[in-house]
Amino acid sequence: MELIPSLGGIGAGLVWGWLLALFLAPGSTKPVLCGLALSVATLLALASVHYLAGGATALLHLGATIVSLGAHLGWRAALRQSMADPR
Amino acid sequence: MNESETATAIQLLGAGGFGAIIGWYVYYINRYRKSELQLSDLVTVVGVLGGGTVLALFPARSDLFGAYGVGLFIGFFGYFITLLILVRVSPNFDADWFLDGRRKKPGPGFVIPEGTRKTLTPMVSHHDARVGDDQNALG
Repeated sequence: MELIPSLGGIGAGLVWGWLLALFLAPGSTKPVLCGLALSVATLLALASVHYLAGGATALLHLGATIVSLGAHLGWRAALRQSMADPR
Repeated sequence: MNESETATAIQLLGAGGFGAIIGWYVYYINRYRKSELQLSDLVTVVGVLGGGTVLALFPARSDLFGAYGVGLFIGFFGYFITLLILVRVSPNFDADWFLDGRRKKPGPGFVIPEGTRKTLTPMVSHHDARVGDDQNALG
């Protein structure tokens, strides 16, 4: 596994995870369809990274996506919390 | 460049710079999205991550895709960090703006021009964002 392609896969995964969180903002009128489309899009992105940088990088990409999605949701929850309990 | 060749520094810088511009633009486009998520939005984003253009520009298993991905990260999160800094230094905004777009009303002598584009927020639904008044900024 080479360093630069791996970093690229991780970078693209972090971007994709953050975007997923932005796309999953409340207020969607078709949450199931939206979730399905996002899942398919995630698989397509994963397949692209697998082709471009190999299987190990695809796994890193997936991990980075999950970390980034979690980070965004956590940040949003913290903002909500601070809004509810202003100090 | 074929797969066995090593990319030169200038090629890596070019791929990274290209990725940075695309990443910045992806955040910008999503921030000013006018409606609920559309299929075309997803097609665009997946295309940015690994679509036809990326496949055509960067050979598989090459360092160029890696540089592009790193640039994408720098551009995308560079936009976000710029927003964080601007909100931090401005006396008219605080972190709540990231959630629902609240900000201080402009004081005397200041005005938000009619037609200023709205941005999306995590806590305001996209429908509200289209029809609401001043409660819809950012994302």
